[in-house]
Amino acid sequence: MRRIGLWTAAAVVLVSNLAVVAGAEWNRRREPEAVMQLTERELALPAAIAENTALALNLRWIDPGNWRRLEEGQPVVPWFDREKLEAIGFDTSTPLTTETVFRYRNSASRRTFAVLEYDGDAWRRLEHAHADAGAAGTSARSRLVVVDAGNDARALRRKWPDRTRTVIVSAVAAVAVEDSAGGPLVLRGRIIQVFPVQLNVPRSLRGPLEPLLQEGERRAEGGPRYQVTVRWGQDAPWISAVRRLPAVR
Amino acid sequence: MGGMNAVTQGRPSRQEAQRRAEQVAGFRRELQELEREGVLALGLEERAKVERYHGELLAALGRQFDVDSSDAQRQMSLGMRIASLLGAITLSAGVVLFFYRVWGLLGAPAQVGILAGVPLLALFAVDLAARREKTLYVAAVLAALATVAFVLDLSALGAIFNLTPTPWVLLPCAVFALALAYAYGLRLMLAAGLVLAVAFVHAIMASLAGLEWSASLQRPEPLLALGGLVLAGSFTRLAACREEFPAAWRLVGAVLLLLPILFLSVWPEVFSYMALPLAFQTALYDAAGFVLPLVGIWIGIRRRWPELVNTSTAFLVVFVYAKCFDWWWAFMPRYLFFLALGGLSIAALVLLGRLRSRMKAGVR
Repeated sequence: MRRIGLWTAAAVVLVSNLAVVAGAEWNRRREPEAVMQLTERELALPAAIAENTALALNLRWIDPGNWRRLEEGQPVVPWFDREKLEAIGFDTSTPLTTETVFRYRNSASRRTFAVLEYDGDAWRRLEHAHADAGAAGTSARSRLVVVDAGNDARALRRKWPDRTRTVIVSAVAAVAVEDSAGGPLVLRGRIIQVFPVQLNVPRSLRGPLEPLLQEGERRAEGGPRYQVTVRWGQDAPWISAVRRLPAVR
Repeated sequence: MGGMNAVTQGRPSRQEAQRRAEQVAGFRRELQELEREGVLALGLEERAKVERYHGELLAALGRQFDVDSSDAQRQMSLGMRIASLLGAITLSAGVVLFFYRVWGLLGAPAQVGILAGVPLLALFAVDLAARREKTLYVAAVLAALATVAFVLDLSALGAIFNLTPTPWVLLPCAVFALALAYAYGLRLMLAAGLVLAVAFVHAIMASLAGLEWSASLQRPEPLLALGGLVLAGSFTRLAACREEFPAAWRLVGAVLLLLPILFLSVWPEVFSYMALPLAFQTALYDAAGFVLPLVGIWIGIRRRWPELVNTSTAFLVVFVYAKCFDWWWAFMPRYLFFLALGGLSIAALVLLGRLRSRMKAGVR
């Protein structure tokens, strides 16, 4: 019994590690799903932790569905409506009333795919809406904006074919209920999480970022300090290049 | 000699051997009491025969199983168990923190090599410790360390290669823990393996239903069926192959079955999939919360399964208090609420006392 158990445990360790490494290698050998040049605004440095020497950049993105409505009578995310929620798999058959609001808001979140558009029309609309509303500046915000969602990644790619401006990522969707004062209750969807949450920086590419780890958080008006080339594989993304950007005066 | 042969030669477990040693110690104490009160007095020849037999038996048990044959040794063993648990926790924390400290200084091949190497090294250490020490305290610590190292291995690989979290990562962790448990008879590893296996099945079911699997614990209803399966598994050969394992299966099964009922009964709107009307569901979980632990206590007493009795009793107490809070807190004055709880506790004590007296009368 001891030998069988011991060898089984050892085999599990070896097979698991081989499977992960082989899968990652296979992912990187295939044609990437998308290639993007992102900046510090989209891939932020983490807070320095003395006990952790690893470096992973935090992926920042925006789902307008998580923002307050900026224009009166106009939903910020018109596309993530009841029909889209049903397509993703949420049960929206129960009539939406004040009694059922809690049930909808407490619906279990669902795994789906989201389309992130980089520095595109969605971002420019948000910028203008913020400027018109007199809200704080958007120069430090990420320009990755959620523009679509669905359970079929291939169908989403056919709808959003630009592989340098859009990427299909694994995401988590949830139900939201808009209840603006005086208006009707409206079911909306929102993306609450995107994967991966962080991107590991290989040791060979850390050089340009090392001095910045000591600098700390940049000021909003300073402009992004670095640019990162990200290749999004069929299964997972990876960082292939990092370069410093000249300071903005 | 028949008794000694039965214990030392028939492939018994360490637990059986320890029980036999405690039986001998109990016999010696009772014999002393009987002689002191003048009820019984063994002749010199008979006393010598019994002493010789018990001496040889305890020596054989000590050689083969390293059992505790005195109160001092038993207390020392308890201290060793506590030390081994603390050792497992602190060593595991040290390994994790050490890896986070150095991994940014290494390239990916070195990281992968160390991540895979540490659990393999720990496995080797477990086997070495198990061969040298019959109590398996050190082996248990190293097994826990190996399991934590393997979980860290898979977690860190996911971070290095930017992988999307998947419930499938729970499966190799469960197999690893169960393999160690069955190889060396480690109950802590068995409990960890069963919990990981149940978590895997639960997460996969949520994932196949399109739900976000990492949040699936917020909907613990499937755990009711899975907990029942684990309880049923305690009757199978899978559990019975080691003497101390059925109790561990029952304990894990009872916790997985009862704990979700607490949450589902008190907050059904938050934790339930709401497949049934709310009022019906609330009544169903309330009934289950009272009936299931009572059944567990009854079966546990009849079958002499203390783990089932203790788990069911603890759950029932917490459940009753939770329901009383749920029903009365909003409208009762605070002093009356606590007086009512106190009265319930006394009523429970009286009831259990009468039950105990009936059981004593039944024994006579």
